Parts: sequence; structure tokens; C-alpha cells
Amino acid sequence: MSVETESRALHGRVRAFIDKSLTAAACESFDSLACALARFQAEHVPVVRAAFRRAGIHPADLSSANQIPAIPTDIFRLRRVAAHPENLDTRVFETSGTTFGKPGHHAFRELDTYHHGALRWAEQMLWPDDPRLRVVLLACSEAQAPTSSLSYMLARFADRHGNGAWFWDGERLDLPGLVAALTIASNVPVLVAGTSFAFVHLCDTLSGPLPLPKGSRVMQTGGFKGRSREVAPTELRASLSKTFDLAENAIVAEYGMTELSSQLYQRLGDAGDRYLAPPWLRVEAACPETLALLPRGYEGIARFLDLANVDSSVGIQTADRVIVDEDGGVTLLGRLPGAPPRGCSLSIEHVLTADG
Amino acid sequence: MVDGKRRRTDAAARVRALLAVARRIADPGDSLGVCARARLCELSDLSLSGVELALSRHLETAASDTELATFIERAEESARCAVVLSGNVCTAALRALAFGLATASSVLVKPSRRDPVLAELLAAELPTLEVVRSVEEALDRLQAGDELHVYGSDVTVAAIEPRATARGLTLRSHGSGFGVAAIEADDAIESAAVALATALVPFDGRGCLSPRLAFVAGGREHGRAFADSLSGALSKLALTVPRGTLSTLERGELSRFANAYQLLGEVWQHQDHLVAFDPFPEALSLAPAHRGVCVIAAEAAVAAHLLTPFSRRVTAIGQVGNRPGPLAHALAQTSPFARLGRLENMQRPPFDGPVDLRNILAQSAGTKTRSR
Repeated sequence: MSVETESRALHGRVRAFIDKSLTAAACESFDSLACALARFQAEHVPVVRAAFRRAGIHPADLSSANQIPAIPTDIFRLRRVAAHPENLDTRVFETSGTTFGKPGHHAFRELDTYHHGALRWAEQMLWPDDPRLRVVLLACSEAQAPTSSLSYMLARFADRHGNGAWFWDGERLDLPGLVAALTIASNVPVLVAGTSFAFVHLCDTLSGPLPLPKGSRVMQTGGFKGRSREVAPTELRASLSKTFDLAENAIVAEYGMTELSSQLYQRLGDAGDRYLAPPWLRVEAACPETLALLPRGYEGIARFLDLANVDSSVGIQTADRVIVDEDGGVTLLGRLPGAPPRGCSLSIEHVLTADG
Repeated sequence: MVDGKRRRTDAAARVRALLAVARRIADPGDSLGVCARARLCELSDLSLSGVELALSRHLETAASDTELATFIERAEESARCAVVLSGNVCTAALRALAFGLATASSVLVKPSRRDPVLAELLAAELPTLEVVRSVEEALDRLQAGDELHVYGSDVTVAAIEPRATARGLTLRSHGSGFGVAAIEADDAIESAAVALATALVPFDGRGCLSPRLAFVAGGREHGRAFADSLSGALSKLALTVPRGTLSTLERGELSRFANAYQLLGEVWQHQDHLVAFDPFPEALSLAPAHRGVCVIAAEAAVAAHLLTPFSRRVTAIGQVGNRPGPLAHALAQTSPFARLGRLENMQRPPFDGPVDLRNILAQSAGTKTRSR
């Protein structure tokens, strides 16, 4: 079987897993699919092969997903992590951090699985009540930021709802346009989604509240990278709640990164700080020193097994501190001190700083 | 002219008085030397022999007339000056305070909270130095037009800069940086490895001049052989100067760095050091600053290209011998404001200005480097 054929078949299996895992339908096990992906990647992605060699595991001997070696996120900056050659890339997402000169790259042979997973989990977490939504976006549009995985995902949300307006033009927040869009006489609830920094900028700039129709919700993502005013998550949530006249449980945070194809969300309607991963993304805490997996409930650094990473690496090791509960709920505790800042907000903040 | 000459003479006298105290600190038999050793062993995170190496070999105790003239020429006269110090290198306070004394007749000193030892010892002996307990106090005591010298991370500098600017102070900042080694294709591997190890061991590689990257020309095998020799040289040096204690966080950082480079090339991780080797570099990562170094196999043009995103961060380039070869030359062109000198002397730069000359050299070249 050719690489392309094998990859296509795996994409199909992952999409089927995504659909079935959200229903009561029987589907193949997470471990079996994760191991199949890891074997494919060990054969075709040199750094994954090196990770297996280093771990002393023969891909054919894999029996459980937790045996799969994880690739540190920094490797995406230092090497190409892809099972296919560059000429077969349909999209390459880049990290926004520039601390180390070259951004991390995540190359995709096809985006259908990413698209499918992002929408299916957003349906569960952002619009489980399946309302008609107006979509208002505080991030660069896909055209302005074709290498941003966040912009790609938000554009798919806009497509899904058949509308979407972007109020970040690549240089600044279009505040008059945003205010006009949010104050039109309409009872249709709004999904306002964007980066944390853009929301802070909005709250700092607005002179008064901007009440949204009943049933509206807000999705914010990304950190502040130590380069601008930092706002604690609870403070940002309270501030957005006040600005938009929404209950705090209508403000949800998303966690995603360029090196992953899947996202975690706080649950709409929950007031807590826990994030939930979709069934096709497993999160474990690893010891920051030994990198060994820790029991549930212990603080460690997040290790992901993302089935939607078909053509790169299913195992991803980050430097983000987490506690994973017995039931898989994830509490985010920020990056390890000393680890390089990274994430989506930097692009916006960088431009604002440059403007200022 | 007379005023200028008088200024230089007075400044030289102040700096020489400071160096005289430094000689006492360097002397293990002097009461100041005894006190410095005792306190640094407690506070600095270096091993006992690491402290001894720092004080006996890396504390500047003398300067030639030519060096001193250049040193003072590079300072600008100011009525008052305050110096905010960082804590990574236990001897760094000396040169920073010397530069302050070359600037003004009396200097306010804000020592590092983590390691105030040298600054406090020097200030206790010299009436020209006065310790202040906070940056705010230093800022309050200065007037518009006075100089503020800040040593520390970029975050520290960024936090202080707006306050200094608001008060009309002239800020000279010395932010984050690192050193780079250049090993040419025809350099003898063993001696080059010993020279680099000699530059890496002082301060456990935490200084702004400490080499964190080593480019090796002459092919991948040459690069790998150098990395292997470097690991051997570091192990040998660790027998006499072991690395100090590491925190859990620092051990974790080394461990994760080693984990990543094991996927890219090869890693030599021993009790007292870490050498990573990348035979096919596409981008660079800095090894953790605890006797960690990343060896990169690259010819001159590729090395310069890889270093370009970091060019403003490079404070020093070390070469084997006195003359830069093609690799060192290419790196120096990428980082024109870095010091260029012999590898083994990277941590012992001439007493000709602050250890980090980036801002001063850039200013001489006409680049905006001072904020007001």
C-alpha cells in the first residue's frame, strides 16, 4: 500500500472514530487506532521513528496507546514532522511565537479530518443547543493569516453557521464595526470568538457595556506570552461577562495549539475552570523531569495523544502544566517557568505593540 | 579639554580603587576574600570550587592603562548614576560598578536579591558606592539626565524602562545574551574542545558571555567528533570544578532538552554537563544554561543563516587561536556587535567596557541603542 493510500485509509478511520465516539455507536478502540497511526508514523516520519528507537519500542510491538513516544512541541520548529513530502502539503500551520527565530510548522496533507474533528467537538462544546448563531470573530481572517490554525478553525465555524464577520484587520481591532455589528436590533444569539488578547484590548477600549442577545456565548483562546497586560482567566471571564451582559458560564475558554489537530474546551454552562478533550484526544500528565506518565490527579506537563494528527505525530509532549482528573477533565496551570512563550495571541499583540 | 582630562583622571582613580578592593576579594587569605567565599558558597548555586574559580580567575583585579582608557572613554559623564544588578554571575557586579564609577563620581547600587554578595562587599569598602534596597529608591534618588544602568533579563529591562523614561533618565540596558563558539574545519578537535570547556565551566554557563552554541565546520563527522571530545573535556574539568546544585526545574529543563535532541542527533548527558549534537540543523535551540551546549554541524554560510534570528542576542564569539577563520568571520558578520576573541578567553574579556558591548558598539556604528 502506498503512503498516500495508507494515510487516506487512516484519515477515514479517524473520521469514523470521531463520529461514532460521539454517539452510542460501536467503534474501534482508541488504543488500536492510536497504535495504527503510530506505526504508520514510525515508518514514514523520521523523528517519530527516532522516538521509537530511543524509547526502545518496536512499532510492531505496540499494544497500548500510552506506550507511544511523544514528540516535544519544539521539534516542530527544528524539523519537518510529516509523513509526506512538502509538495503534497495542502496547508502548513505555523506557531505565532518568534522567541527562537523560526516558528514551528505543522504540515497537513489533507485538512478534512482536522475540519471534521474541530466542528464536531465545537458542536458539543460551543453550540450543543444547536441554535442559529451570528458569528463575530476577533482574530485575523483566514485570508490574512493562512498559516494560523485558529483562523482556519474559526473560518470553519463561520462556514458552519453560514455567516461570520471578522473585526481584526491584521493590524487593529475594528471597534466601530464590531460595535455596529453587535448593537443591531436582532434577537439572534451571537458567538463571539477570538484571542484572549483581543478581548482584553476590547474591554480596555470600550467605554460601556455591549449587551448581547439571550443565548449568546463567547469563546476565548490563547495566553498573553508575558508581552502585554496579563489578565487572570477568572478576571477575563468576569470582565467579558460584564461587557457582554452574559452569565459567566456563557464564557468558555478553548485550548489548542499548532502541533495538535484537536481542541479542548471548558463546557458551556459550567462555571468551572476544567477543560474537556474530545474522545479522540487523550491527555495525560507527565513528570517534567523524567517525562514518565503520572497517575491521574498529579500535576505534570501535558502529553497528548491526538488521533487527528494522522500525518505528523499522534504523541505530542508540551511544557504546559496540567492536572488531569480521574474522569479526564483537565485543569490548565500555565507553562513551566523558563519554557518559551508561544501560542495564538502573540500575532495580535505583536502588531499592537508595533503600532503603539 | 582640561575638564575632559580631569574627568578621565578622576574616573580612572575611582575604577582603580574598585579594582584594589577586588584584589582583596580575589585573595583567599584576605578577610574580604574569606567573607566572599563563605557567602557565595551559601548563595550562588555554584559548587565550592566553582566559587573559587569565579573569584580567583574571573574577577577582574587589574587593568592596563590602555584598557582603562578605553573603558572610561566608553562611559559617558553624568552627575549621578544608579546600577541595577542581576544575579546570574557572582562576579559581574564588579565590572558593572566600575562602569558606573566611570560614569559618575558616586553610584547608587541595587544588588541582586538572589546574590548581593560582591556588590555589598564592594560598597562597604568604598564611599563612592551606596547600596539602595529597591529599584524605586534608585529611581527616586536620580534626576532627569542622570544615568541608569540595568543588568538583567529582557523582562527586567522592559519593566524598568518606562519608569526610567518617564523620569527623563538615560537608560543603558544590558539584557539577555549568550556566547557562540566557532570551530573551523582545520581546527584541532581536542584542543578546541578543551578551550570551549574552559569557557563553559565558569559560572556553570549562566553568564551572558557563556557559550551555548558551538558551530563546527568541516562536515558532520568532524562535528560529532568535536561534540564527543567536548563531553570528555567537560567531564575532566568537572573532576576539579563540579557543577553546582540544580533545582528540580533546571533538571527538568535539561532532561527535556536532551529528550528533544536525542530525536534529532545525539546527546552526551553526564552528571555535570549536557552536550547535544545536531548533524542536520534546520533551526537552532539554545541548550539550558547549566553547562549545556548545543553543537551544530554547519559550514560558514549555513551557520550564519541559522544564527541570523538570534544575531542581536549574541554577546561573544569564540574562535580557536587569534585569527578568525571563515566560520568565525561569517558569524561575526551576522552579529557585528558581539565580542570576537579566543575561545578559552570568552569569559575573560579585556577590561575595555561592560562585558556585553552590544549597545556600545551599535551606538558607535550609529544604531539607536539608548532610550531616554
